Amino acid sequence: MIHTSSPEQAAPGSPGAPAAISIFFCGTLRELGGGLDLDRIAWWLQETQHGTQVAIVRDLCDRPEAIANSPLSQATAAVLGLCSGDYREAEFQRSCRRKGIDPLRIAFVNLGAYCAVPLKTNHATSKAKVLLAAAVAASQRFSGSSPEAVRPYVLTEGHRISRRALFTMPPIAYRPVATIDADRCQAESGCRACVKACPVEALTGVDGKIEITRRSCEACGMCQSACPTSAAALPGRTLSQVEAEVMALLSGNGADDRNRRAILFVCRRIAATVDSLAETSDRLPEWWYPVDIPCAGSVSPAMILQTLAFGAGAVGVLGCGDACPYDQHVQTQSAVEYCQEIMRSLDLPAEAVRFFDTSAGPNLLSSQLSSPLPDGSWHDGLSTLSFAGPDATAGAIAALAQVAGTDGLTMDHAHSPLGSISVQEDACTSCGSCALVCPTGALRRSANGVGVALSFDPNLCTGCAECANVCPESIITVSRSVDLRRLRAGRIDLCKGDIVRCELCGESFAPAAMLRRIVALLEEKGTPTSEGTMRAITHTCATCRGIGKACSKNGLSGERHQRL
Amino acid sequence: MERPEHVCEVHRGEFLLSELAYLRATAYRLVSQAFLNPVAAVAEAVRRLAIELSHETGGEQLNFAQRLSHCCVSLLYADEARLQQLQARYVALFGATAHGLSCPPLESAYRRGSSGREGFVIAAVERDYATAGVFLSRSHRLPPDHISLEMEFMAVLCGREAEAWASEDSKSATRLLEKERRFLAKHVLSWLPAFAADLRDADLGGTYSQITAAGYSFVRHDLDLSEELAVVLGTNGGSR
Repeated sequence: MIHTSSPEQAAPGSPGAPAAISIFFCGTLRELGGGLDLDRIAWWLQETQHGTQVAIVRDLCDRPEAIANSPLSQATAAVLGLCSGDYREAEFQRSCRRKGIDPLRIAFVNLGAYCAVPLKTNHATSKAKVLLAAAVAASQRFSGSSPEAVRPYVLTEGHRISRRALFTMPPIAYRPVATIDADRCQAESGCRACVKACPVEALTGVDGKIEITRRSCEACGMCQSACPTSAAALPGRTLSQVEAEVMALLSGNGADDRNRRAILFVCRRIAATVDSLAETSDRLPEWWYPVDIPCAGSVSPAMILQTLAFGAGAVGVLGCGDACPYDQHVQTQSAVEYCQEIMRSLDLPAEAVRFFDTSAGPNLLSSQLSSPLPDGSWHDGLSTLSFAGPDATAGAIAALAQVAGTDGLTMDHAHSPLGSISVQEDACTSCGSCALVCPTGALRRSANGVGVALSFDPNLCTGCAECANVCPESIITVSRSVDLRRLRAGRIDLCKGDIVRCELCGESFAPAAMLRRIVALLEEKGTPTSEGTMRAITHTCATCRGIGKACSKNGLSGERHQRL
Repeated sequence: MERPEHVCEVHRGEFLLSELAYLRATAYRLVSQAFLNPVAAVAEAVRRLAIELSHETGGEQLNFAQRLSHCCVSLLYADEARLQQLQARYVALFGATAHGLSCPPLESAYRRGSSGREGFVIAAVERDYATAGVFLSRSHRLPPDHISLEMEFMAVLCGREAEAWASEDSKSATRLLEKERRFLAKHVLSWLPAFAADLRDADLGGTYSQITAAGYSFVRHDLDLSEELAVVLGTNGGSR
């Protein structure tokens, strides 16, 4: 049976319109396990999700080509509700392409494992609505792939195709490639956060630009999590998409039980393990709502803390453990430990943040996942989520602290994503080198005709230490710490000083501290300097000094020379 | 070039290499025709090729090819009055003006640098044509590095590749695939992005900026695809 409708559907790709999304269900879900009420879900989706059209297709899981033959009109995105996680991705992609659907805008939702098999019909139907609404929300946040953001991939399962027996090839699949938004990227000022984060060395910094070796990119998403300016993105799984999905999972289909829902960030490599656990209700408790991510290492503290502050009952990160091909096991665990430490410091339950890995084996993993959610009242600290941007972590901590009624959190942690800077005020020359290289604008130098100030916003500091590296006086200390009072205070002046005006032309030309430092250096090194030269250096700008020198050499006199 | 006989899907999404090469040839020919002066015969050729590339014939195997096909059908399947408008636009964009060429569809215009090395660029293109045994017809008035000719050259290579696969000559086919890959990287993609960007500004939302964007998407994708095929066929000696 095909169930279709097209409520007020926007033309695909029309500017400003929400994406037109086709939702396909495998009809077998009706009979699988407790069964899903697909008609009810279809009706609900069309009523609540603007711009969607729905079809229920018999045996869809075994017949990807049925999508191409369905009577639904062309769309730009698809959500597929399938019976299991064992589907033929390339064939679905191909079939969807015939409907005009972007391969990076196809969401696969395993309704069999998470709803139909382990739950009874009503409950399963209810959970399916939430999962589908989340997939739709994520899909709507992505506008489509450009040729730079996607690359073809022939599924040969690691083998080369024999050239003797050619003539057929496996289907072409498409995978995302990380992209860098040149307008936002701070590579020119020296930022290399994505390059350092990339585990496969697909990114390199060349001439103030980040270059991507497309074939090397494995779409792990580490670059987008590390980028302090949101310039790096993994198309099809951007941070904005994950945000939308998490928000919909926590607030979709009635948000009254938000704090009884827990978000489980699952590494895509081990999705099958979780699927198999989910198929048995007592092995994966129903409160866990899975969110696929490219690698557990890409889950940042900001993502965990923001999700908690938004109201999740708990947040879990499930990685591949020692088997992680990118060696992100330790980093993932550290991020979770940091968040636990934050919760503990705020007198909130640290067990609301959990780390799991598959190396424990399915039985132990299942028992860890079954540990009950903590009771707590820290929820609803944030009304929206924002995983990207340098202030995401600080914003989440401030929101959690507000809910906890605390304002005195001070914590050092080696893996803190927040940094704090101290400067020896008396030694700072206000040269501004640190502000020039700061990728997030946490450090800012501002000058007017009279004074100069170096200010710092701890909410924006990622502790990258670029400032300390370039400081010519080596007077900047970066610590990985959180101080809630400093966060709340926002931007503060670290150093202030006067600007000296040129005696001849009256233009301001250098910070007084810088001139004092020059004099001190000349004296320290014993450089023979006449009093006149010293005075010229400290009282006149470079332009006028040039004039003065020329006048003196040529035996000229005049008002300027006299004053000099 | 004749369409291979075995054009149907083989098994569960598998495809014939000859079919794939044939589709690529069709897409290149479509881009080539789309950048000729849009007289009635050209518009008809564009329409025919665009339909040939549609999903009815398996065109969906190539991502971006359908976009190209839709773009061309909707924009170039036009009546006489529309064709005249397009011709005027074609001349305004690609023809000579008092200030020189507005958006020259020529590789040499984008790769000459500041020292006027157009000749070297054109010679390099012609050399690659000659190496493949392709020579320009004397009646042809377009310069060798015109986008239409570079695309047509790619179509010729892909067509030959399709025939090689169909006749089970895998050695020739893989050699041709490598030639295509080199020509794309060395010539076409060295200037097409800049040309597409110029046209986007000069023909904001217009027919030719859309066709160029769709064409660039296809060509960029095709380089990735030919690299991927080289890997899975083991012709590049490398690994994934």
